[in-house]
Amino acid sequence: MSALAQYHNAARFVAGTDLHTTNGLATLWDGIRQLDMASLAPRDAFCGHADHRHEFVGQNPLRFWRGGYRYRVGYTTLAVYIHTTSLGTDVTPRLRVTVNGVVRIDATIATGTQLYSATGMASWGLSDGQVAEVAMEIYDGGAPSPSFDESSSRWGTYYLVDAFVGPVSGVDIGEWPGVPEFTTGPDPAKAQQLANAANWLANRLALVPQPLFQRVVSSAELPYWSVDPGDPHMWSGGGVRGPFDRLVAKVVWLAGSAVSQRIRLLVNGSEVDTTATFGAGSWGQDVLVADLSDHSATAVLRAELQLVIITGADAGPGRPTRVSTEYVELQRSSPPFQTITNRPEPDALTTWATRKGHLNAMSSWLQVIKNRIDNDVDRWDRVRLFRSSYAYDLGEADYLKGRYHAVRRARTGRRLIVRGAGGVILGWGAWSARLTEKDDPNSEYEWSWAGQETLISGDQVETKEIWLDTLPGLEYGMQYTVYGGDVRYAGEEPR
Amino acid sequence: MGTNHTISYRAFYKTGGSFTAFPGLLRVTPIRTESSGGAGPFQFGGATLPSMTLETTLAGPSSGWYRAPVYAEIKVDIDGVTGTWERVFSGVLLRRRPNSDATGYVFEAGGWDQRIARVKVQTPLRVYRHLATETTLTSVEDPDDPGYAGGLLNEVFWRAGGRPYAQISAHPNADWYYACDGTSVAPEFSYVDGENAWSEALALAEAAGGQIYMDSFGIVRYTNPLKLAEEVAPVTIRDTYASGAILYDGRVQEEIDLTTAFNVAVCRFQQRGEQPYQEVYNAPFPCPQLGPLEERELPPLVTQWPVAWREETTGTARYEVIVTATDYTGAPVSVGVSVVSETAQTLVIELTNPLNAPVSINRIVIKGHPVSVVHEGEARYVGPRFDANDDEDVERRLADSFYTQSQPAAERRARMAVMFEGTPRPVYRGLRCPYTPGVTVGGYARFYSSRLGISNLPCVIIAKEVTDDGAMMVLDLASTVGLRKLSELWITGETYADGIQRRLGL
Repeated sequence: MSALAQYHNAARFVAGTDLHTTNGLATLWDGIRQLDMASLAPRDAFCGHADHRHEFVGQNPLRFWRGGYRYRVGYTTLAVYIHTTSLGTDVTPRLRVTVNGVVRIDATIATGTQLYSATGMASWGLSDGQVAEVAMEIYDGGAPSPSFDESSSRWGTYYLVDAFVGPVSGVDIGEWPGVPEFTTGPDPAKAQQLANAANWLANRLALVPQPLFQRVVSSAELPYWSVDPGDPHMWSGGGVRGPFDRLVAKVVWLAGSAVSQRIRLLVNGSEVDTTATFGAGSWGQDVLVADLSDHSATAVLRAELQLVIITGADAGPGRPTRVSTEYVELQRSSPPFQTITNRPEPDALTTWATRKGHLNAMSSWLQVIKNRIDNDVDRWDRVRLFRSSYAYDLGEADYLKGRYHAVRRARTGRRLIVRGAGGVILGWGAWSARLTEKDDPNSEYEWSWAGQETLISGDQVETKEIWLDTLPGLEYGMQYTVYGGDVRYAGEEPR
Repeated sequence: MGTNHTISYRAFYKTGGSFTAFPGLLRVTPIRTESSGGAGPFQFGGATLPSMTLETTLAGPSSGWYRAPVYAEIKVDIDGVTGTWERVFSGVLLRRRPNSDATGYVFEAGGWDQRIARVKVQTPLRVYRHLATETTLTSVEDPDDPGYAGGLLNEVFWRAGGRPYAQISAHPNADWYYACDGTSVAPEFSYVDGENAWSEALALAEAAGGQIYMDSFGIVRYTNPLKLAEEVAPVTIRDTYASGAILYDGRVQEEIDLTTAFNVAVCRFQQRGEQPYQEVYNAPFPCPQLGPLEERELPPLVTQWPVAWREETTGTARYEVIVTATDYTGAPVSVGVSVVSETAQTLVIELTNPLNAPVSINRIVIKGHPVSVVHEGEARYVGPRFDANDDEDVERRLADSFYTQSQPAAERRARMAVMFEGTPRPVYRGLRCPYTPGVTVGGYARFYSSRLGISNLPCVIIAKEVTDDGAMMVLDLASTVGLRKLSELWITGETYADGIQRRLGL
């Protein structure tokens, strides 16, 4: 259930009527619990790179990453964290970040985990609610192009660890009304203040959309790693730790012909969890967990999933393992939910001391949520960028559409904003994947869902707003997928 | 009753914009007012409003009376003490016919439902608006006031020509007056859009719980059921003499009707939600072309669903009107659009042709956020059975209401229905008393009956009939024992000591 969908406006209290105003105190009581839950919700890890970490390794500039965000008036800053330990050979790599085609960051890349940022977003010509497209390149202005050596790239290895915009607190939703203290009676102004505070928090939480996770789906004949011993990269990303103390990744595999292999999770280059070793032809799934509690809240954590091929394939044509990265999520291991007592029965007798205590407790609960939002800067003052599909044209998009899906693992919001082109479909419910060539097991899969809606059919890039309640069967908590075409932004809005 | 009572009547009707004495008035016929038109004494919804006939000489008005507002007043002088004129009816004149020997006229008047039912009321979409708010000396009742925060029922009454009785000094010549209790029922979305304002008002009362009736003074009232037992200035009605008491003749019928009683109520709700920005109106231009430089207000453009045209709190518009127009060459023309009025399901716009030449308006599209059902369910409340001998629950399914939009709201309606409508309740009928000024339907009474062994029983007067040319009145009383009272709940705006006990609500 969405934590925030029911908040359209603050309930109203009128002097002379009973305190249990329909949709007033009852809604507040229920709503506070949902606000508490929403303020502790996990978030998807930032999506950096999938199996092919940098798409055209022999190019200069190197197409590095692309995605988008939905601009809100009040944002000032775009921030990017890049990690590298190898800058490359005979190159001076620079990062170039464009927003809607205009260069906003152009800086020399240094080793380690570095922050690159641009401010002054208010003057970038964006309108409130507009989806901005972000493209990142690594380039060397002095290196030859296009005859960059494709066979033995001089590039190093670069990871985009995090990218976000903000501050969300800069978006104007009015002043925090504060919370009242009830003393001698249910003063209507104070009751209204209580409702306004809850509504303000709902509005505040709703300012942070959830970009969909760019899920990696196993597909036939992925050519990006061999069946020889090694530890090929499958996914990387991560982000600032923030209030979360663990990172959870779910992987699913169908083992190829390598004799023994496993999948491991690394944080900042160190292995923190692994699947058991599995043999050729086996299949399975596992949830890998990284304990982040030893890191500070501001630590920038590079997460990476690798397939570790311990013993390669025997003789014969190699068949690579298929691995799906279902989700990578930052969570709190023990969310500090408030002890919120049950909503009292309307007809139950209580003393004013008790009732006053309940009302003041509601104030306290709201204040705790407000403080949490203020303190969890990384969670509530920043909006992560959406990771676009890896394709750079519609033809490539069509080729890759079976392999990368923008997924929302559990719907919690009311709206979805999608920008893209070329046959973008929203699918939910039971799914099936069929080979595009019936008799060729190595052909791509074509996906379909029990419920699906074409969002953008033409080749023209469009931004669409979809109110998820209008899609029959797509209930809160259900997974849905944005599939096909060239998806440049997909973010779920809580309200 | 005796020779020391002198009964006088007078009547006024509105003609030429002001009330004037009814010419040739001979007699006002019996008037019965009641507060419940349903099966039980506290049935939610509306009562049957009273009617009245006026008998006149041939001097009775021959013109200017058609559907005119009319009221009648009575004065009772007792023991030489001159009484004050007291209004006993207010309504509209509906019919004139000759009396039995054609020596005069009989005018028939109906209650204000006859007027209200003919009024079309359309309100904007309201958010968390209380269905009714208490009318007071200072309450803002004019819906067009920028600070209006009154209830929908108040808005219906006002737009139907009523004015708040509590503010009669500010509206001395109003056709009719209303008085509303407040209700705490405030659905997330609400509006009125109906051809019959009376049925809309009854729907509001049914959803909020409560009754709409015309009291014995001609005031249309909405009563919050939680105030039915909130005794204010009760009269005492006895069959034996006591100082200050109204004496009746001792004949009384006690009635308890189980046929309409129930102890289980099921209420459905439909949660509404604001929907995506989309076309809410799309139709060809409903009028011919616009002439050169012409400005024209169009007939209302009606949407299928109510639309949240504006932010409730800020008033910011959240819609756009797109007009496709072309000149005689087929070139597009940007026609001026201004919005004249907005109600939940209609938009009235005015178009302005900027050219000194005719233009063709091809299509009008309006985009906005409609509000429609997003979730539905039902609530069930099981109250205590009627007595220990009962071996079955009696269930009633409440009528669906647009205004019941959440589980708590449905629970509340079900609970209220069982408590006020479903629970059997004794009614004491047919108490013949001398006409006593100040006694009205909806008023409170303390009832005594030697025959029934009843003493000091709190009741509400649910019917009053004036008989014997105004000399007598016949009352029906309903016991309020056991009814939940507003004062038993926590009231917003009241002060309480820590040890005070109250309930949260129904």
